[in-house]
Amino acid sequence: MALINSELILSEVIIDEPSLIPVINRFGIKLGLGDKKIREICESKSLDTDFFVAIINTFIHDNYFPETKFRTFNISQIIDYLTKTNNSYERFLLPNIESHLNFFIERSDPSNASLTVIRKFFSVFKKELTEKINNDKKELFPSIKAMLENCDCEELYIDSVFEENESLEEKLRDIKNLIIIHLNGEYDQNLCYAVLVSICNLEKDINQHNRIRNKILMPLVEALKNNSCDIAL
Amino acid sequence: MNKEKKIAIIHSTPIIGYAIKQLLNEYFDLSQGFIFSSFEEMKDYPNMENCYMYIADPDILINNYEFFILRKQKTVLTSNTDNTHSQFYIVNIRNHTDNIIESFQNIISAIDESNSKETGKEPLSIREIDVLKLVTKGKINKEIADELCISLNTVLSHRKNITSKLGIKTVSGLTFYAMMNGYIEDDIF
Repeated sequence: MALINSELILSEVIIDEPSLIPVINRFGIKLGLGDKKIREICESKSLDTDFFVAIINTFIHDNYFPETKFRTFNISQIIDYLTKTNNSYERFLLPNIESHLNFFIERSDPSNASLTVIRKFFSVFKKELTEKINNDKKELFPSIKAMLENCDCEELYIDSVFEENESLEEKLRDIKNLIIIHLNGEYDQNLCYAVLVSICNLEKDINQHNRIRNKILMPLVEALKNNSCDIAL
Repeated sequence: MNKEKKIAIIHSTPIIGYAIKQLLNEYFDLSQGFIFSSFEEMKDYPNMENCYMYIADPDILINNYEFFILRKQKTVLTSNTDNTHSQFYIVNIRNHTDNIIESFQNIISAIDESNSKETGKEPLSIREIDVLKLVTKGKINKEIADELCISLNTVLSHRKNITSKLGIKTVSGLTFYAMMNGYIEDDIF
């Protein structure tokens, strides 16, 4: 699909790319889109059209990542978006996978131990992701916001949390590979597919979240930190 | 998946090279095509000795026969007829596009088949299973080396092979793989 611009009709975009539905929901846009253009919808919701368009393009195209453009957006806008994605992981994507997994295991051969192994692996992953999200909510994002308001770099708490993300992504990929390459025994194929689709959706979303986080948010925060330290001195 | 597969297209008519590059990108997701109008031009370009595929016109191929015969398992000759007997793969570029795509489809699966013979994925060796078990116990590479009386480098190469054979990278992934296959008890978590 070609790059999206603000003059396109959002419903037509969504018909071609239904995977965008959770993304537009995060911006408070619901289905029943009519034939309004992206720009019109954004204006009626007081959203920054450029930011919205950049996010959906980044989401659709794995290779598209307008770093310079992203850096013109303000930090709190980016944090708001990342917070919304975190919320949707907690409220929707993780519970989705979990309920698919439970249903899958319930409906499959109860003597197939490899299925419960996958569920255990997923709970390890879920625990770690939830810890990371809590850390964002309680420590990282508030301290970045405080720094923005007070121009005070000392309040900033930056930890190695950013590097750990990668191993979260790797774990999720391993869960997927464990199912695709190594699953054995009898199981319900249809429900297994539902599990995989929900895992792939989360994987794609986390991937995009982390690109924005590591390549945009962190460099912006670093720059701000250096600047305000210079001023303080 | 195909990002590392470099393709050298050496054709005296660059627009044909360009067309082939576009076709490979569009239908086979092979985006790393490099176009050269002469063999010398390719020689001057870095790291083209071990590409995934070479595509050359008849003159270029014959004049640099020694280079291509060493790579005959992955060299494609662009020809103007169908009836050429050759040791190389052949694509008749005068054919309909559909036929050309089909030729490339056959060639690519033949190349992939011969590549997979070289790297063939075998089951884990007994030693690799030993290493895997220790990894799942949370041991670091140095401890694994000491315990199995092997060098650190050997441990590293076992770990690399395990990951490439299983497609599983993280310690937790390996642990659950080991559980699933009965290498360790299912009660750690």
